[in-house]
Amino acid sequence: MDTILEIEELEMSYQTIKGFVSAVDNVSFKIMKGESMGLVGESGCGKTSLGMCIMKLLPENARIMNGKILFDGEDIVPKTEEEMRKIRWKGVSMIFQAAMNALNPVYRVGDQIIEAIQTHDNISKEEAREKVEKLYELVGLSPERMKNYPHEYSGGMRQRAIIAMALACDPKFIIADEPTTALDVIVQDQIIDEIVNLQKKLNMTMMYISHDISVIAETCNKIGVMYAGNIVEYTYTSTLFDNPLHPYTKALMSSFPSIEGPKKELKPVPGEPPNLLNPPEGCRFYPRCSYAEEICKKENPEFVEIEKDHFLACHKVI
Amino acid sequence: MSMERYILSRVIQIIIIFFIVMSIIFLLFRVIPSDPTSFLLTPSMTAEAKEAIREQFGLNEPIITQYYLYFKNFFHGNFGNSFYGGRSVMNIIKERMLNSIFLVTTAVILSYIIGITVGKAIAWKRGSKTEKFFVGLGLWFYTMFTPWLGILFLWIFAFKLHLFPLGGMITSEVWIANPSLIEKICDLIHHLILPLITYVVLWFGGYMLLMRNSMLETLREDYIITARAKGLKEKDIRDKHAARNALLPIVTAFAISISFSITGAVLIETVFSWPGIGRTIVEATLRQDYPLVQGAFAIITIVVLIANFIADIAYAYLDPRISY
Repeated sequence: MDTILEIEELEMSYQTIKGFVSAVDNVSFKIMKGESMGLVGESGCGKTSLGMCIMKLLPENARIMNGKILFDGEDIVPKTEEEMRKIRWKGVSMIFQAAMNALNPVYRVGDQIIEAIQTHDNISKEEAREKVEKLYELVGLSPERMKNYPHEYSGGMRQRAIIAMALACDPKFIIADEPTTALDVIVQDQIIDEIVNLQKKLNMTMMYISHDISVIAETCNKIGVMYAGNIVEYTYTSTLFDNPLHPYTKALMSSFPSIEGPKKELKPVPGEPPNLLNPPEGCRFYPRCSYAEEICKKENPEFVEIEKDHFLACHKVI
Repeated sequence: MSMERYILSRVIQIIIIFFIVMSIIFLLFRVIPSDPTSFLLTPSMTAEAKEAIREQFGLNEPIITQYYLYFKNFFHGNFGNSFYGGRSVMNIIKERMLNSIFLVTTAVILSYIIGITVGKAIAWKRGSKTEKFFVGLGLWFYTMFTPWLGILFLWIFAFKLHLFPLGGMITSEVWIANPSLIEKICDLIHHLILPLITYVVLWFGGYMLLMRNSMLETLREDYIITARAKGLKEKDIRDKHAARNALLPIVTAFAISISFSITGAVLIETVFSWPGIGRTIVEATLRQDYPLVQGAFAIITIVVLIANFIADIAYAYLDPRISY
């Protein structure tokens, strides 16, 4: 299998008045062609920042301090804006949250997708329009809706249109950033089904960012668990659910209800995530970890492959 | 609501506002503590002569009849004659308003275009030296006292350097000598340039700062990230996505300025002796030329109402979210 995306020791910081906040720290992982990776973690753990690093769509105060982002074998970290411009949407595209103003309110939705196609592919407006019609049918929207404005769509329709837009240039890799978060559960379910279907149909390679591990379990074959800027565990979905190793992963699992099995009291993860301006020395999770020992306070555990395709950063398990 | 219904309801509103404003103008001229005819009357006149003059202006009628006649004459386009020179008020307003439009509307449009273009560019380069320079410059000119800059320009460019005439709209010697059309136009433009530049220098800053602020707000919107993620060219992100949305609130400012331009720019017109409507109103007020002031107020009311109406329609057209 070909590697689409390989991230090596990535570190990204935001410069603030109080100092550098390292939002992504020492992150390494690989995504193969056709795989779907879920990135799960609490709010503010750096999921979206990591996604934005891959598109290099960072705010002015953000800087990639260290590491490599190999997309299709090429490191994109040193690339210029103009070089990135060609990779964006054609190479990596993004499914934004529909609740955000991701669509420009003054243009027709269809035209906004046509615009993306015409930026990258040298085809006529008519051909682009036909392509968008097909995309609309693919995501379950009526092509007639192309001529409507974003505010004339419902939340679910807008999300479908945003998915269609992400597919417009046949990208090699798609990042979905909380695409169902603001939708009600029924629509959420429809959109998740849609994404799973498309993934099978188009053999999409994608990264799905969510704070909801159950959504990720439905959509992804691999899961990366992120905590305070680090990926602490990364493996196949089934492995992670059967045999979670990192204390944070375990804690996260027991804070979600399960439909099957006996009723259990939900256990919230005690404490709060650390202040990333001044992260704790050693393991970033140790202040909340019930297994913490002396070594955890001093040394940050390395992120290693402890069994085939199961990566982990924890002193205790090693 | 459909577009037609929206327009209809706006028209009805405008008609109501029009009658209210016209009634206020009517009352205003009747509560002023001086008789409109006072300047025609002399103490040596007999009571009959005084009464005859009052009758001539219809001031002996009861107030309700006067009110009725006021609107009747208005709808016949009859504003009476100026107390000075006896010319028809309608003709004076028409002529002076054209002069004002020639100068001030040109100036408004120019400062609008310059302000928007610069504002858009500096918002895009936020934090740069260029941005700081233009913000400072814009504020400096915007807060400057109009006659001061006008007189300064007159002194430098007209008095010292003799590049432009000292004032007025035409050189009478040139026009008496039966010139060709091109010579006439050249003469007009020669007179136009200095007041035009003064106005633009003073006013572009306002639009620039407005556009810059609006643009900075728009640049924080999520669809700008989408546009960047789509790999669009910088220029397209700036012009098609950011500026297009940032322009919406500026349209209103433009409509208001356009209506101001038709009412004239009193200060500029006075400094440059431009025979525009703004200066006409000031002079007529000082001379207590009641028919002229009243007529001018009425016309200005109509112009402002129409300009705002057009702005509303334009706004609805530019922003698809506005439902009619």
